[in-house]
Amino acid sequence: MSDQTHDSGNGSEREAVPGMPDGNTRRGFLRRSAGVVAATAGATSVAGALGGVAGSALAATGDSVFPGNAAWDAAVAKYAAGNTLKIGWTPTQGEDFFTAIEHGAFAQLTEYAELFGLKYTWDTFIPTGFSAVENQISTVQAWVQKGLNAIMICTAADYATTQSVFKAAQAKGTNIYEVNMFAELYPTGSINCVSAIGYDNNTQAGYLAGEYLKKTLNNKGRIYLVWGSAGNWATSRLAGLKASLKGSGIEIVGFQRGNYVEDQGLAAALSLLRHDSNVNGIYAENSEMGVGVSLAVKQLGLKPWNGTSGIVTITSNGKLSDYQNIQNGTLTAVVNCNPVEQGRQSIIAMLYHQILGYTPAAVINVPTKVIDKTNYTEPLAYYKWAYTYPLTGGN
Amino acid sequence: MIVAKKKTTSGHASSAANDSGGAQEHRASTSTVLNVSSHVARPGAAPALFIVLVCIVMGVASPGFTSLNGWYFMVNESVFIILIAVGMTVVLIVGGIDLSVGSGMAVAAALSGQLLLDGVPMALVFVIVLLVGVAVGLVNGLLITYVGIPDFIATLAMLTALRGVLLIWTQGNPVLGYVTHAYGVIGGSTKIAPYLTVPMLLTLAVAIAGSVLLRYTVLGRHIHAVGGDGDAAVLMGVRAKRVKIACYVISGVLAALSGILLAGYLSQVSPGTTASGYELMAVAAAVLGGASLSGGRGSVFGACLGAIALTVITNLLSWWNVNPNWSDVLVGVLILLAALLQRAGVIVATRGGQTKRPRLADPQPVTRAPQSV
Repeated sequence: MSDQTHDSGNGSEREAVPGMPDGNTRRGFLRRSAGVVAATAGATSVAGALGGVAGSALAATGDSVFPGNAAWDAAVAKYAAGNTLKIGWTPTQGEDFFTAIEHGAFAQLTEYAELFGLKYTWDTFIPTGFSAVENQISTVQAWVQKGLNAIMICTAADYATTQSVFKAAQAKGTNIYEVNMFAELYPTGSINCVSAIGYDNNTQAGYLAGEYLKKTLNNKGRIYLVWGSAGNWATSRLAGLKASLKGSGIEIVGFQRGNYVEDQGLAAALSLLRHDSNVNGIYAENSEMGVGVSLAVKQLGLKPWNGTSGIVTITSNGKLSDYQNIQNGTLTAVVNCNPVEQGRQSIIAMLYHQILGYTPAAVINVPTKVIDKTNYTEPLAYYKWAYTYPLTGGN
Repeated sequence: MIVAKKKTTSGHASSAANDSGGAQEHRASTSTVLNVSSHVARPGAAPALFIVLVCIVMGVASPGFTSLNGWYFMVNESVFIILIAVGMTVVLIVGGIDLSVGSGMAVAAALSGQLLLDGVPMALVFVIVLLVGVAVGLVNGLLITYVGIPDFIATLAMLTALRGVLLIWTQGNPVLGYVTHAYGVIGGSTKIAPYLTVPMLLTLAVAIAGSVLLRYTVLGRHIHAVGGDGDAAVLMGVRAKRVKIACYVISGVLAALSGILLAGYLSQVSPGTTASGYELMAVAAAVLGGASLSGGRGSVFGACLGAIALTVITNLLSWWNVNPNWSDVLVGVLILLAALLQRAGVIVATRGGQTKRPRLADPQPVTRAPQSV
């Protein structure tokens, strides 16, 4: 935690973007990446002013098409004046993946506050656990009563239930932004929210992990899966992994649940490995279980992957602990699901919709990537940069 | 067993030889049934029986599972639950329930890690964290006894509040990078001898101390008395409120101890998820081990066996690579079977005319009067 102490330093300290090429200021970077996401949104083929227009324009020029001069700032500031974005944020549970999303959101809010004088308030509700969905739903309903105008939510609640709650909320003027959900599993038109900001768990997480395993193990080997609680994320990632491994020489020889927590991931991996340690890789579906898997490998005296031999351990999330574990060699790789970017894109979509009146893409997927010892410095720097923006209740 | 003893001590044994064959057989079979049932009714009998069965079946089918190494890992994994199950048993016997132990563990684990990162000496860290455990137990106890909040509600509120405080304090970020070799040894991720870790020794010491407390001390007798019939205990001069507070303090301290060890074992504390749900596992272990949710009954030894049985169940299913979707169902069914087995034993033993005057530590089904402590 000491590495993640929130620095509430002044703006000038934050201007340079660690991990970005020299000369990239935060302001310039934020503008540029906003254009990149507009392109992503356009690629989802969802009708919308932001995605359709900006995306296609960007594809044509290969550079940001966002206006970035003082005139545009002033024009947006006119819309922002007198408006206060009242935002609610509720993740599935308290963990640093979601904290990273929150920091990404605050990075963007701070930028907009500086550029456009945007006023905002920020309410957070963190349920006691992954399954404590009733509290989340009742909180959303309370926020609607309270008059919040935008809610960012990631929930494990039953899909049909949430959609009816979201529909009712939006009817009362509280717009919903799903974050880090599983939009790929449902028809776009059935999702009752302004935008679903996240990534495709199938093609951008499970599939990528499979590709990495194939490449690292030379398309041959036996692997275990330590999976999270049954649900949409688990289903989608597993489908992606299987699609990648189909027809390959990689065989899934064991599958147990670690329910997204360290100790259960450890117990599952210990049990699997004690039964048969002749495996080449273990895919733990999230970081916490990845920690457990790494500990199991260590406790049993097995050799972690060293680049040529040992057991490959891979997980999905992309958090500070993942990069530290990659750095110290206990974790081989992680699919960076880009939590910071998800937070930032949520606020970008919010600005366009809530303040400027645009229709953002229904599904906005952030870029993801497999990170290992060869390339962890860039996402680590980005992560740490976002953490320089303190979490507050608003401005 | 009781019938057989009566025969011998009342001098009827010799005349029994003159009984008709049928009556003799009937009496013998009744005796056997009662004998078996009285054993089955003992706290911890069901999980013990389950563990023995696993040893027999897996010893033949898959010896690796029940090898010394296999047991080492399963027991080492169980100790965290055993510690809080011991505390939970004490609280259940006094007629309460402590749902805050999981959050208490998480706070203790995170606090240990953070204080170590801040450079506080390890011994002092452990003292501070154990004192926090005392404080949590004390607050629980005071809320329940002096403010009058029901046990379930008070400790449920504490569960939520502690987790919330932890999340606010850490802002959801994990506590990392605090584990030294020494802390790894204390947490049990490193052995101190073949098949032996520090948490195993500590847990053994706690289990023995808990058994002694409940069986041979005045406080132990008072705990049973308050849990069995609070009003009667008060009339007998037992300071029921103090007894109950003491039980919650014991539970709080053991949760803190378990948290300290868990932090060393896992090398990372995630504020939102570490030890989440442990409170229910502790209740399940205590009940499997013979504790009654209505108070007055329970066994530390049984709770230890209950916790190990729970670990064995999950390991067994992983070992067989049972589809995880079925695992949850099977774990539930097995827990239910163990509880039914125990319940059946109690019923048979009771109907069989068990007339022996109960000792305080003996398992007796107790109907607890409304409490007014």
